[in-house]
Amino acid sequence: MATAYRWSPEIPEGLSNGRANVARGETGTGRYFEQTGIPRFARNDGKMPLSANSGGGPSRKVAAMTTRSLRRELMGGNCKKPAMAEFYTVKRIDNSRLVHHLEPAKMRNLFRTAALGGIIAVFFMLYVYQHFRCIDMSFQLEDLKGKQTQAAELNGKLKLEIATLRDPRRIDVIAQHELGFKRPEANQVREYVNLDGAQVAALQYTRLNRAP
Amino acid sequence: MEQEKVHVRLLIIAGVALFWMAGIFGRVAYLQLFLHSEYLARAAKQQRKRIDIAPKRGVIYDRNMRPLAMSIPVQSAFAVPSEVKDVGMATRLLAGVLGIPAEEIRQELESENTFVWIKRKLAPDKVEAVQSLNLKGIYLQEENQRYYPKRDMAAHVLGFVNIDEKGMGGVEERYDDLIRSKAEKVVVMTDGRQRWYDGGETLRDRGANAVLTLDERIQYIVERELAAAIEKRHAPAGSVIVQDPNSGAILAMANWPRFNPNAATDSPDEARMNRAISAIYEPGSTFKLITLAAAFDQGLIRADEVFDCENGAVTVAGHLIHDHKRYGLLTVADILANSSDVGAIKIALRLGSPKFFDYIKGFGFGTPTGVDLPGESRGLLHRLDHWGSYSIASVSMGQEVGVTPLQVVTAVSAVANGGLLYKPYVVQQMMRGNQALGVEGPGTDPPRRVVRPETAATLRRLMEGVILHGTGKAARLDGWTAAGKTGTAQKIDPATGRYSPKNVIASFAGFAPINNPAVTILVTIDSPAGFPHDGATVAAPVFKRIAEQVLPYLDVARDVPSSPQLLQTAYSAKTEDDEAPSDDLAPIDFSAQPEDREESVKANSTQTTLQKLPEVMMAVDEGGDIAVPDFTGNTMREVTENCLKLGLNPVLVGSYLAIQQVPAAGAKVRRGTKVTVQFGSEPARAGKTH
Repeated sequence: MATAYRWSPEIPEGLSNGRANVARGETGTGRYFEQTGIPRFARNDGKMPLSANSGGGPSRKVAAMTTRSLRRELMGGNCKKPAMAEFYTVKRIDNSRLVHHLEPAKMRNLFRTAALGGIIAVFFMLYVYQHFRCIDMSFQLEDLKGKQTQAAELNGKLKLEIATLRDPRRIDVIAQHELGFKRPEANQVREYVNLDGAQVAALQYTRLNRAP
Repeated sequence: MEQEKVHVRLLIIAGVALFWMAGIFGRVAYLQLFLHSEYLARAAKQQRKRIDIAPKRGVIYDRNMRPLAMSIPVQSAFAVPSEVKDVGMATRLLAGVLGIPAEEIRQELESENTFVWIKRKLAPDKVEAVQSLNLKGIYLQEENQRYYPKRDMAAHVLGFVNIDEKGMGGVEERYDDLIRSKAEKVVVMTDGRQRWYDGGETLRDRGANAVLTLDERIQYIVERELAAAIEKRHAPAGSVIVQDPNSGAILAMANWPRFNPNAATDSPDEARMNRAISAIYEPGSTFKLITLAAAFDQGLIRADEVFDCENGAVTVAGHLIHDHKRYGLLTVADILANSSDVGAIKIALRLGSPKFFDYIKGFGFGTPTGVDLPGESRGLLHRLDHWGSYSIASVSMGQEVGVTPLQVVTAVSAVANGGLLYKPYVVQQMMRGNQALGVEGPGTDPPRRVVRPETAATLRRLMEGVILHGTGKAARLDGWTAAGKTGTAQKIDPATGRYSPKNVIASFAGFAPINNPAVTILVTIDSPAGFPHDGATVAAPVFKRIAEQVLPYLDVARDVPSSPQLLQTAYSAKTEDDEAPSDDLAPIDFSAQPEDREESVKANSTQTTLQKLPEVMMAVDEGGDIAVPDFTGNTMREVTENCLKLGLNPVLVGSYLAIQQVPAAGAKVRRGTKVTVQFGSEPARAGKTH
């Protein structure tokens, strides 16, 4: 008789009515087991032995079935392997009080490796960052150089304009024809001592000490 | 079984992934290892661009760092013919915008060249118009445009540049290799959007800046007066040079006709010629200075020595030479003052041709002066062995010898500074940034002594006599002493081959003040119209007007008191509100006026003060208050003691007893004024003739 073990507190239906012998028991480990016997029929023409309470009815029906057909029925109909006693260990394990032991050496190695890898990663990222930052700053630098060049060009143009406006001939023409200035005679231009007060007033009073 | 299935699937997936990765890495390896150089070259081609940097010329400044020539960037339009799709449309549009004949543009666009200019150095509005057309194949490139903001001022000294910014004439040509930077190609890195991200460091050879010896203000004064004289005398040409006699630096160099270097090609070649260094002319009577300098330096004559001028005519080697006036007995001083040809000939004959020739060469005639300008002429001086019997007479009068104005002014400067011949120069220094470049040039050459200081002092005094009572009265300055010599040289008529009585070159060469000269000025006017047209009438007044403007600009102290006419002029300008009537020569007393105007002065109201001032501002300066004593007959010790007592600065020339002095006795000067006293033997008795 094949014996199957299943981790179940209950006996499945259909197996407790004589089709199989279910034995319940308790192993030394505290496990419960159920033995679902799938009787291996002896060679009696393939007929099932009579059960303990065989008297007819279902047992008869069972008795009339061959082992294979019975297995098939029991197993859902497509069982090709020979019946074996299968023991299902129902095991209840409580890990709530388990303490996971960490090996310090392994952890150190792990951290060391992680740190090294992190440093390498940081350096790599830093290198990449610098590379692209450098390119970015190069763009900015070229942009600033362009602005500087434009400013220098504008400066040059303004200096040219200033020099043109300062042309003595141009100023002479403006002074004489537009403002009505007259060119001084040689005797009108005198050296003078810069006295306190308005410069124009000082010009009027320039006269060195004169001998009587 | 399930697990096996899962296991197989995982293996399949892993296998696919591995295969994929292998493919990628293999491709990467293939690209990196086998195609590396090819892609590197392709990337370089895409990313690298060669940019042409147009050469930029440095700035040319005057001695006070005022810019006279500078370059600014401008855009030029060019085309890549292969990229132009619709030549007809491009031609029409560009012709309309740029004002160029369409056929010219079409020719360029249909050429097989890869690069053609459409128009160079466009105005900003044209640049905008071309950009707005947005034509494919038409691009703009930056170049530099040379500008001369003062237009035709000092054009002959500055020169000009051609379309390629190459110097043509003047300082631009002479120092072209320094002023012009080299054209460069710069490699820049660009990204996908053609933005530059690495312009690279370029060691640009910046064009050097030139600082000239010219003074912009003096140059303007000189050009204005020359233009006025040319217009007044209807002369076709002329030139004026102002030089510092103590260094050879050229303060101003003006020529007529002028040209505008901004549009140099619009002017004829004649206008672009620097007559001051290239035009050769016979100097005429100004050359008598050289004759007398040589004779004095050889000790062959004295200033008071009398010569018989043969009543205005003398025969030399069969040639009869007439003087411009019938002179009888003249001292050497008078010979120069009155510009007697006969007197000069007699002096030259006493000197002799060989010695005379040596002094002529010593003064720099017949050889280029070495000025740092291109195109200088050496003049015309026949070799001594080619002199005829008559040559000494001709040359002594300033004929049969060709000189340039620069040679004459340099020689006169040698007399002014005591006998040292300086090389003239126009470039003071070359600078790159703030660093001066050590450039060898005439400015660094030491001077050469041509005559003794005593000779120069004597000649200065005689030249003063030309102005005081000789032919150069029109050159007398108001407020400064001056010395000079007139010149009227007849030009040869090309039709007849003889000297023309009508066409002359009127000139005046002089310097001021006599003691410690600040400027030497030469004025030459070519073929002035009308009569009189001699140097005394035409050129001497120009010298006066220029000197009277330049000397106060240079802050040269006056060494001559104002003439009485000035006082009279000042008084006539007084307003009716002025208090006391005054005599013509009564001095103006300003002592009370500052107190009356104290309030306005304290208020510092310039406007108020201006309103109260007379219409014509006259501030009479009667000179110093130290009367120069008469040193005649004094010993050197006595002269020195007297000068130091009065606070004057004595300059003693010669030995024995004082015979001449400048300023003259009685002149009012200021403390510290230099008084030159010449010493010598007793003056010669009257009546001695030669």
